[in-house]
Amino acid sequence: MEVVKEANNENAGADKTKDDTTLEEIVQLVTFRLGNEEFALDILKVQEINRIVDITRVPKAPDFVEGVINLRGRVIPIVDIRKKFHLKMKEITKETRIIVVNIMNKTIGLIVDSVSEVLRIDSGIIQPPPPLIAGLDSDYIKGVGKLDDRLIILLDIDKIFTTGDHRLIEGMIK
Amino acid sequence: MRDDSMKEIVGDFVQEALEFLESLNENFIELEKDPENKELLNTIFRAAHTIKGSAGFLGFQNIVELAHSAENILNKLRQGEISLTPDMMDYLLKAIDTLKAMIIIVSKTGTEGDATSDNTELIKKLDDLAEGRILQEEDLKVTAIENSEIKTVDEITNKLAHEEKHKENHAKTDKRKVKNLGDILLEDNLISKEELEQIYKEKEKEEEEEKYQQVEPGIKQPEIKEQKPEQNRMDAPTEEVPRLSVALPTEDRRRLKPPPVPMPEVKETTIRVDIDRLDNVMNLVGELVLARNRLFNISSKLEVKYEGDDLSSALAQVISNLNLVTTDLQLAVMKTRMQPVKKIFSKFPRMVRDLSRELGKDIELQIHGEETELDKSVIEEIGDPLVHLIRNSVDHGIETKKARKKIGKPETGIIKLSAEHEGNYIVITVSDDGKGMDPDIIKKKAVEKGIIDDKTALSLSDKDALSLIFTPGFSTKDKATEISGRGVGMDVVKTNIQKINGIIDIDSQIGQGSGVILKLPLTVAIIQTLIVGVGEDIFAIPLNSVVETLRIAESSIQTIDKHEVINLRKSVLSLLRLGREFGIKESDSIGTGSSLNQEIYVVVVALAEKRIGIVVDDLYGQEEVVIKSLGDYQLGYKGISGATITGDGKVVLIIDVASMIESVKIR
Repeated sequence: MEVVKEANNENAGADKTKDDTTLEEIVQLVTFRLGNEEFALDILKVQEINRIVDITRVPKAPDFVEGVINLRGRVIPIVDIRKKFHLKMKEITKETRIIVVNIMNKTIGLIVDSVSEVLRIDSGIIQPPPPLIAGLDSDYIKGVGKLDDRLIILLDIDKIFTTGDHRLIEGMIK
Repeated sequence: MRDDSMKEIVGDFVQEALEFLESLNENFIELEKDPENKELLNTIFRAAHTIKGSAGFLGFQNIVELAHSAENILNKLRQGEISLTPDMMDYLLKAIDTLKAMIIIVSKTGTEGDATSDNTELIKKLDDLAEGRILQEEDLKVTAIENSEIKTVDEITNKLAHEEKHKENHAKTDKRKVKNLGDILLEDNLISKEELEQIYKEKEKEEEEEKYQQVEPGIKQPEIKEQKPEQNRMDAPTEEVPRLSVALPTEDRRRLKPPPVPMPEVKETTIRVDIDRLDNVMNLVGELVLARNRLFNISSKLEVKYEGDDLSSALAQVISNLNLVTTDLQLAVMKTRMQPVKKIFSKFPRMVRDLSRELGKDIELQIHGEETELDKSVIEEIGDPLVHLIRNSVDHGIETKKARKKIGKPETGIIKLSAEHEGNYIVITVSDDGKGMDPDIIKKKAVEKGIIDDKTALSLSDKDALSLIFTPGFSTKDKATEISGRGVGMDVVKTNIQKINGIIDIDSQIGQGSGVILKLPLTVAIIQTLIVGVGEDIFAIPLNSVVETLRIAESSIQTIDKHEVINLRKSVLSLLRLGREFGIKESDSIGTGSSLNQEIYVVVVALAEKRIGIVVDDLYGQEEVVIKSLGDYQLGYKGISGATITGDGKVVLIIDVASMIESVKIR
């Protein structure tokens, strides 16, 4: 188990407001791969990163919900983020990971192809998302970061699960 | 006094007073049946007196006034000066209700508030009732005081109260204060200064005592009280005081009779625990149960792998020990959450009495097994359903006195309320010897209200017709009365019982009476489940809902209107194929339709009043599981009520029997 960090939601909230005011700020991002694309999440949202485990299917759940797992005595849902983004399916490999994130005090696991690294970047280099990214609703994207020759898509994880047709978490988003 | 310690004292007062009032309710009903029961009267009197005393200490004047008036009547009853009439009982009960309301206001606001001050009428009525023989008493008393050496505070105060009344021509006897009266007594030379001082001292001492009792939350008040007056009675032989008029409360008597009775030493044997803490302990025990299940699993695998190995058998031994301890611990924790059903049963005699008086019926409520214990969460849910069931029995079930006489039944109708253990269940039954329910009338009403159509009505069995009463909005009454008829009650019964995975059964014989049987689980957090397999997936079905499991041949399945059913002991049972319902591929051997001789497993489940058969591929056995809610997540499907973690660390979903039954109905 590669525990990255116990996330603290209050901090996360405070951080967000800081983002808006001071542009020259170092942000820490967890980057992961889905196919050829590189995505990133704010590290404060990430609770831990686990290897893949047995997933129990939930009948009649939305199709992007892969099932539920036992996370040290808690039962949490697992989402295949590829399905959510309508990307092509990929088989589970040795690199496949579950990123456990905290959203509005609820815990959800995301299946990703692989986790790359923790990046410290200047928030200044994150630019607003282009209006349309193929297959991806740009509402779910916070911004795009350019780093040398890499292009990293920063996801708005809160919005992914609290808005849209298949909300996994009931709640309002500011 | 610090603010929060004051709060605590008030809180204790509220709790204690409410408990007393609850017991008063019960006692009064009992008293009505047995008005000569002096012991009971004394108990009632003591409870009223304690409430008055505590309220007085805390300065809740309105409560004191009302309690005092009620106490006056009680005292006269106790002295045998007046006898109990139903009217009097009505007012006494009303006084209790009012007191309860006032105390609840106190618990919410910490003060009496203004809304409670409007009791003058009730107090006046109570006083009038108490003073039915006031004139003769007064004559008696004057002579008594002249002739008697012994003067108690109460005698004097009472006499004075009456004198005052004469002077002022005022009926309010209850607002007097001992101190002022004492001064008046002194002026009138009815009492010496020394005597008065003695009285003051005693009064203060008593207040101290009350204060002490207030801050001692754990002590069970009624028990102490029970003992004291017992001794008092021995100390104060009756011939000592000539039979006097109003008020000779035992406690007051004790107060003036040296030497004081030594307080029996009471050890604190109970503590009040916040329910959240208990819930937390329960959760932790749940985790422990899961861990034990996993350890069990691993150990049994190890034993297979390293058979005869010292270490693995040692481990097995430790685990079996752990198993015992865990089971005991679990039981112990469950026990702490158990409460006797008396807690809810106790309010029904009063309810039945009020309702039957209102309706002019004569009804006796017989209660059995009120010491039966149930989990707190279950207790909380069954209060309302029982209220509705009993109301129904009173209103719809039991006939009027006339009607009963006509058909040769005794005039007094009987409603039985009983609770008993039955395996892992508690069975609560509400039955009456009234007119019973007529399935045909119910069908007719249901058609009228548009709940079912004519065709369905014809095909309904009597038992199914009876279940119609659980439909929201159903009522056989054309007009809603205050008591029933809105068609809400039975829906409440169904919803609440379903919520705790209970089963409802109706039994009714026209002309003989009807009964509703509630089968309730002992607890809700940790449940026994039946583990079943569908294809490659595993699910758990709460064992509470499982009636039986069957192994039947495919060929015995019939279809009615595209519904699959089987004939089970002459009743039709709808089937639900879990695999199909969940969109899971059934295992290759089953459901291909090629072999009708293929045998399948059917789990017959029941909830509230409905039964269906769930078709599964495998039965794996029974396992005790801890329910983990999935309610935080919008998984979009109602068929799963929660999840649990089994011995091998896997998540197994728990099937929501209610929605399974629902989905059979919809199709």
